[in-house]
Amino acid sequence: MRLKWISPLLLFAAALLVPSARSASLAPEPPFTQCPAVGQDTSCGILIVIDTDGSLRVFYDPSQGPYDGIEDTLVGVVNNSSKTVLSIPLYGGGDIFGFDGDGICGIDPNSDPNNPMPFDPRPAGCPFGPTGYEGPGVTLTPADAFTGTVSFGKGLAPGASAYFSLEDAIQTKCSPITGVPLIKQSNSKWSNVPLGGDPKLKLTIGSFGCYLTDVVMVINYYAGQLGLPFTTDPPTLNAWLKANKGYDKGGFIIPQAVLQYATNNGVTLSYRAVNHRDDFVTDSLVCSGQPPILLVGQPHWVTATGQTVTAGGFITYLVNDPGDPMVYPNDDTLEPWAFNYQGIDIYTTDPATPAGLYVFIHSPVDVYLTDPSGLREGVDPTTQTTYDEILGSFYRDASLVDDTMPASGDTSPHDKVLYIPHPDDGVFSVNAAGTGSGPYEIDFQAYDSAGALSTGPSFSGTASTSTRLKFSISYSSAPGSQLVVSLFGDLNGDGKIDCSDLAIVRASFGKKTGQKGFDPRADVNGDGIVNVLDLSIVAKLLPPGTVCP
Amino acid sequence: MLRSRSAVLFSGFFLAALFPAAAFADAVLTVAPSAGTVANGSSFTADVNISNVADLYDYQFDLNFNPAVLQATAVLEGSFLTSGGATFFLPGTIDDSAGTIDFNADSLLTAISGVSGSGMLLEIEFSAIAPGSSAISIPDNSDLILQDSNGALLSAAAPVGGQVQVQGDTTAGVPEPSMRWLLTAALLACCILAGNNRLRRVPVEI
Repeated sequence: MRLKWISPLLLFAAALLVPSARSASLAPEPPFTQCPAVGQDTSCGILIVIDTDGSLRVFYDPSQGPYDGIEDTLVGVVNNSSKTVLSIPLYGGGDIFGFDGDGICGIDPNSDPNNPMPFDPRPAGCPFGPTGYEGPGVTLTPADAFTGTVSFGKGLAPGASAYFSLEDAIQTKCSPITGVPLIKQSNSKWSNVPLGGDPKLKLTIGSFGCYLTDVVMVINYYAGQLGLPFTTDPPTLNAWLKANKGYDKGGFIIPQAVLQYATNNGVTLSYRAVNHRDDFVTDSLVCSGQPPILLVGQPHWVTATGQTVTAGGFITYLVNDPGDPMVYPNDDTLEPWAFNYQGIDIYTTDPATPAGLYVFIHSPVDVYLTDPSGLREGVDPTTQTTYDEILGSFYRDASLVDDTMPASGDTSPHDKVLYIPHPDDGVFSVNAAGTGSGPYEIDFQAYDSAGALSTGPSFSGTASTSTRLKFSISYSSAPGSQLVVSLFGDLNGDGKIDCSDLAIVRASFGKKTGQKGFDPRADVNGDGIVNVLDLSIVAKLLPPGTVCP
Repeated sequence: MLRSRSAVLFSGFFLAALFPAAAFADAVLTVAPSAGTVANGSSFTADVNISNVADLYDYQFDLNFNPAVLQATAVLEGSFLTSGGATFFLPGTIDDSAGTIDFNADSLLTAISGVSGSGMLLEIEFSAIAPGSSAISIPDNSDLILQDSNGALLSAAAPVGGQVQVQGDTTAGVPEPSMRWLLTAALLACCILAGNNRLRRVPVEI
C-alpha cells in the first residue's frame, strides 16, 4: 500500500535523504525492450519506472512514435522498487483511456476498412483483455477518458516489467509552456493581506499564500489561452474565496471554490489531484499545455511550466515559484527541493464533474473513509494502516511552511484534508481515532454535480488516544442535494456523544420494533431490539472520564 | 423505596464450593446462595455472581422467580463491574405478577478494558410473601449476553440458579405452647377431613 499521507517532517527528511533526482546519464537509455514490436514500433515509446520510493518516473524514446503511426502509444512499466506493485493510477493530459479499438491487440486503422487486419507485428498471445489495449497480465480500468488504473493481476514483482497501450500520441518530452505569468506572493501590494481560515492564525499571502498565487497564475494562463481579457491577482481571488467558503478554518483552499471563481469569470476548469510524484502525469500535462501545480519542500507549492536538464545534468522541471527569490534561490527549477515533489494539483480545461466530498480534520485525529462500494481512503492509526484505494482521492496534511522564513520550520496548522473526487451517490462512513490529546474538530463539505456547496455539521470535542468516532455521510451528486452527516452513537443529533444519548437507550431498553416505547434511534445496531448491545456501543464512544447518573 | 433487610435464615451449601472456579472453561453466572430458608414476611437478598470471566465490559440477563412465594422489591448493582471504572447500570424491569426481572444490564463507560475474574454483578431484594418454594433462575435465553471490551460475545456456561424455601408466617407473632398444640391439632383435623394432601405438606415450625 502506498503511503498517502506523510508528515511534513518525513517529507522534509525524504527530500534531504532520498536521491530523488536522476542525472541524465543515469536515466535508462532507449531502446526500452520491455515492449515487443507492435505495428510501427520496435520497442516501448514510453517507459514508466516505478522508483524505489514508489513514485513514477517516465522516459521517452523519440525514435518510437505512435505504433499505429497516428495516435496510439506503446507503454512499458518496470518496477524498480523493492515491493510488489498491484496497480498504478494514470492521468494523461489527453483522453488516454478513450479506447477506440486500435489497441495493440486491436485493428490496425491503416488496414483496408473492408478487410480490417490486426497490427503486424503484434504481441504473441493476443488478446490479453477486453479492450485490446492490454498486455499480458495487465488490466486497464478507465474511470473516464482521461483517468484510469493499470492493474497487474497478482502484482508486478520487484524488477519485473509489463506493457500495454494507451490512446493518444502521448508526449512526455516537449518544449516549455509559454504564457504562464510569474506572480510573487511577496509582492508588497498584497504580501500582508490576511488569508482565509481562522483569523487567529494570522496567515498572510506573503507567508502562506503560495498555493493561492499558483492558482492565480494558472487561471490567468488559461484566460489568456482562451483569449479572455480577464486576469486576477492573489488578493482578489483571496477575497472571493473568503466570501464564498473557499477556505477551511486551517487555511486550506478548496479547489471546487477555485473552479467556481474561474467559471464565474469565463474560465471553465476541472480539478484533479495526484498525491505522489508521478512524472507521467506531470510530463503529460506540461506537454499538453496544462501547467500542473506541484507540492514541494517543507511543504510549498510551485507551478510547473516545462522540462529541463540542469547544468549538473539533472532532469527536472521548470517552475514558476510564487515564493520570494531571496528566500528560495534558483527557484526556476525544482533544484531548491532536491529535484523532488510529492503531489500534483491539476487544473485543466478537460471536462470533469466538480462533484467532490471533503472531510477536514483538525488534529489530533486521523480518519479513513469507506465509500459505498467498500473502497477506503485515509489512515487508521489504531492499526497503522494507510488506505489509498479510491482513484484520484487524497488524504493530505494541508499545512504549509512559512514562505517568509522557511528555515524556521513554522507552518500553518497541521490540519488534514480527505478529498474524494466525483463521489458515488450513497452512504459513506468515516472512522476517526485520536492520535494524541487535545481539542479536535471534524468538518464535512461537499459539492454536487453542478458545483453547488453543501456544508455538513461540525463535530468537536477533546481527543485522546482512546477516542473512537464513526460518522455516516449520505451524499448525492444530484444538483441541490444536501449533505447529511451523523455521528455514530450521537443518538439525539446534538453533535456529541454524552449521557443524553445513553438516556435514549435507557428509555427504550428491552423494547422491540413495533412495541410501544421503541425508539429506533436507540436501536443502534439495527437488530430490532434495544438491549445491552446498543448500550455498550454508545458507552464505548463516550469521551474519556465520562460518568453518567 | 428499599426496605431494611431482616435476618435471613439460609442453610445448605454453595455449588461454587463443589466446583472451584478453575474447573470452568466459560464464564459462569451463579445465583447465591444456591439454597436457603427464609421466614414468611421477611426480606432477603440474593446475589448474582460471575466467575471465570475475562475482559467483561457489559452484561445483560433476565431473572425468574415464583411470584406466589416471592416478591422482588429492588435490583441493585454489584461491585464487580464497578471495579473497572464508571458504569451505566440498568436494573431489570420487575414484574411481580409474572415472576420476572427482565433486562438487567450494566456496562462500563468509555473505551476502556473490561474486568476479569470473579465477583458480584448484582443483588436482588426479595420479600417472602407466602410459604412455599421458589427457584431463582437465570434463563439461558437470547437476553443472556456477556461482551468484552472489543464488543465480542463471551461464552458462558449454563447459569446456576438458586432455591428458596419460605417457612410459615411469623409476622403474626409466636403462639403460646398450649395454643400452638391446639392449633396444630385443629389444622391436622381439617386437613384430614378435607382430604387436602397439599396442605399436609406445608412445613410447620414447631
